[in-house]
Amino acid sequence: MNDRRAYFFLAAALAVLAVQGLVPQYRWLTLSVAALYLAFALAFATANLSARRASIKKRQPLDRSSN
Amino acid sequence: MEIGAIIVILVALAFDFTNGFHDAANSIATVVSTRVLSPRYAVVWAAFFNFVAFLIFSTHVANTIAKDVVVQEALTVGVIFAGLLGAIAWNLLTFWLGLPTSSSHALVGGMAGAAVVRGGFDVLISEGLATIGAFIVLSPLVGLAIGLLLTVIIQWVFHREKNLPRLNKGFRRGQLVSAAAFSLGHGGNDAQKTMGIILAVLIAVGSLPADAEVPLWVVLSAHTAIALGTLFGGWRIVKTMGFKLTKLQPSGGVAAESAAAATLFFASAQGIPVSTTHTITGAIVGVGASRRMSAVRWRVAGRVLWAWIFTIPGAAIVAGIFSLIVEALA
Repeated sequence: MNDRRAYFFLAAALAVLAVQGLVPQYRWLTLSVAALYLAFALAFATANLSARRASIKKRQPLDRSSN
Repeated sequence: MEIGAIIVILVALAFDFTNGFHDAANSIATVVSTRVLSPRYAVVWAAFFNFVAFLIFSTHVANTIAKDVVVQEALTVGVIFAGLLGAIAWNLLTFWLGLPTSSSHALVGGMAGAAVVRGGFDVLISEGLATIGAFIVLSPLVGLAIGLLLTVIIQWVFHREKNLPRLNKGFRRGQLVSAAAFSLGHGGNDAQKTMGIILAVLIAVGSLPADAEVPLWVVLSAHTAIALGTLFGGWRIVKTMGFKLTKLQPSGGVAAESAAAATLFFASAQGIPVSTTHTITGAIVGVGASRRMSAVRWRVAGRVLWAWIFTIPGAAIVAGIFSLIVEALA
């Protein structure tokens, strides 16, 4: 599984944080949106890791038989 | 009122008409692509809500355009005219190049560029420009975040629903409401940019005091121009655009339009001019990203990024050239 959404949401969070200094009066907005993106990035990164672990486990019996 | 001011007001209203003409597709493309409304009815629906937006929103965005971009002493009729011509020329140039730039940002860049050529960088109001600049990046990203969040909520609430035709029927009805909300947001934010230009002209020629609010005839004429533009242009553009868009389910349409509408409502209430095109693009990307990355048309998203970077400086340079020409002719 090659899901790049975690990187995409991380980049989106960084873009929001990069401009927050220009609008200090909307810090609550920028911080909430960045937090949301980071939460999504974390969720997709965790899902990616679990999927990778599951696929490695699935392959292991085959690898042993080939040895 | 002097003839120059009347010409600038008419050009501003023509700019507003083309804005409705061009952006109608954003308001109704998803309603048309999910076959909730035929293109003809969808255009009338959007035009109606573009017009009635004046009943809901105050004129904060118009005041920002007129008073928070360039200091009022530098805003002469010639500068406003050059700024407007610069924005129109930039829009035509980028339309020819196929770049999805924002008329709103072109207008801000045009006004700034035309004024800088006459009075130097001191005439710019850095605080106002910083807020507008930040929201060039923030409005699509906020739209994207809300679109994504709404899609996740919709999927989570309805994932056990077995009767898909009934569910789709419900969302199709919901799309009428979300498309209407987006059209309200579009009318509310975009028509006010024209009001801001007209207000600046009226202040520049001394018809209104510097702290004046937008007169009702300006509000009504700007909303009429954008609604007429939507009515006349939308039909033709939607016919091609509406069917080319990413295939959205009715639930995705509701999520994207509601997310964009919420972003536009917030921006209008705060007096921030934002790009309606970029906002709905961000919201649609958010809905697509909830499925998989390949569901998103990244080429379009990438082109929006180029538009972010180039519009304000590009329109400022073109308007600066027009400002020199207007000064030489005056």
